[in-house]
Amino acid sequence: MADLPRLAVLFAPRGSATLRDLLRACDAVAEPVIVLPPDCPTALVRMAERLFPLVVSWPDGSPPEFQADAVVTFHDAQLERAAALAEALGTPRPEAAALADKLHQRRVLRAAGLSRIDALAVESPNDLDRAVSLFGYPCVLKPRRGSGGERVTILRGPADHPKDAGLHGLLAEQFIPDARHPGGGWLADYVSVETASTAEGKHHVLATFGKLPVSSDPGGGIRTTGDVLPHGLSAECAARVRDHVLDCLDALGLRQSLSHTEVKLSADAPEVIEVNCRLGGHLSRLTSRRNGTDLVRLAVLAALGEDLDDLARRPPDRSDALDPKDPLHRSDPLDPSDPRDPSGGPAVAGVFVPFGAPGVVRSEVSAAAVRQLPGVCSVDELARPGDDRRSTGGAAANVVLQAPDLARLQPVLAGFLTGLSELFAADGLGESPWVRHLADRLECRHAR
Amino acid sequence: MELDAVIERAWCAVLAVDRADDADDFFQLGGDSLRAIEFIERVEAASGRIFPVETLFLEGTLAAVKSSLTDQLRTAEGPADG
Repeated sequence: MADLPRLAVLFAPRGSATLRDLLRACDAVAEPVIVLPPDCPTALVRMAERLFPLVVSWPDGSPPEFQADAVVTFHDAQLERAAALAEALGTPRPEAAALADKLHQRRVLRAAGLSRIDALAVESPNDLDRAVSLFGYPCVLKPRRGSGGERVTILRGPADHPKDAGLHGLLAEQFIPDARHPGGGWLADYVSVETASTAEGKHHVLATFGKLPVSSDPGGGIRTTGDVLPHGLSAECAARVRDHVLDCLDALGLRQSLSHTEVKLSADAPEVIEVNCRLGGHLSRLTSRRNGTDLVRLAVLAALGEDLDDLARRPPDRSDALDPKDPLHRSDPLDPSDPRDPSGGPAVAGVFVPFGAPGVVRSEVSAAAVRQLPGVCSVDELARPGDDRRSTGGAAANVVLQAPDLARLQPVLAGFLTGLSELFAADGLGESPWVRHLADRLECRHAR
Repeated sequence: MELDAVIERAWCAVLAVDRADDADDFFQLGGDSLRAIEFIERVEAASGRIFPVETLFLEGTLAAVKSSLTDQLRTAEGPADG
């Protein structure tokens, strides 16, 4: 058997691929070298060393020296290190690194006439004041690079401005006006589009995900809470979103990469929130369940320089399950149902149910009990009693739900929220603003 | 079998479940890489066996883990006489 190409994977916790995902994704296609960051928990280092023959630690400083044929990462914070490592190893530089700066992205898209949103760099309180005077409230403050969706704040007034120490490497931009998801108020007014871009710059849409409403912290911080397949958009709206995303990827010049683009469904036309040049987090588990598509494996193959056009034509299997019946270019193989009825087909949702406030977990809840709740087919994370709520990203539970279709997912989600609120009663989960808001939208009684 | 009991005790302790069902998947019951290393090291400490890490990560079920460890034990003991 020929030697497999060696792929350096810059791994970090809470990225869009776990060690398990990587083990499966590299099976028979690559020999992974797991490169760990300086602050990696020691237990995770031990696990990586048990799973993979080649594990390298990279503390700050010069890149480690070893041989590899390609480099990939699944974490925003590792994009620039991935580029540095590629340069040191002499492998093709991941395209993603050049596009990791969200301010640069916004300027390119605006110059191309693809965005109406203005943005400014923020490195000081004066910068922030200037941005607010230009954009007014509300406006958005977020890191320019490497945040993995964290530390995004909607500023609705002076009280939401962060302290001086937090103003570095940020951008402020105009707020994209809220809209309403055509599929109903229980879905958020934005979607994400996962794409695979070939070396020649041809883009394939892999999936479009609906989203659950974001949760808001008292200080204006926002958190994502869930992803839904199918997306629930009309065929016309879905086509507008996809065309807009592909035009944006063309303008950014994305090549040989997967990407995760968030798009606001504003009233006039779709508006890109941001393009993340790596796989979206917690999404491969949904595509795998719905039609067998392993997005992590696709990302591995893309990093190795595989022909992504060709991948689209291979028959589905455990890992490369792109439906060969659907033309892939500018279509969504994960919506195999009639495009006139985009709500058809089985529905899956990844849900992160947020606690209403920081603190210590009080409830003692077993994964087995959560598995018994309506629609739950997997419990991927669960807050444990005595733990800081931040240890699970502020979520009581991170689960996968499924239902025969999108319409029937709604009562399943409502039942799940009610049941989970009862299990986490000691933490007041049912009284959290996000749970009450979504329960209202799902037209059920407030979870108590 | 004592080995099965060791595995089940570690499974229940790490995943905080009262009962170990052979069909259950470690990673669908709140298991992650950090809990996996805890489970692995508990079983190894209690059994003296080397844990089949890839079996847990690629197959995930309690049944698969038990089967793999049992096969390992049989291989180590060799074929029976007669």
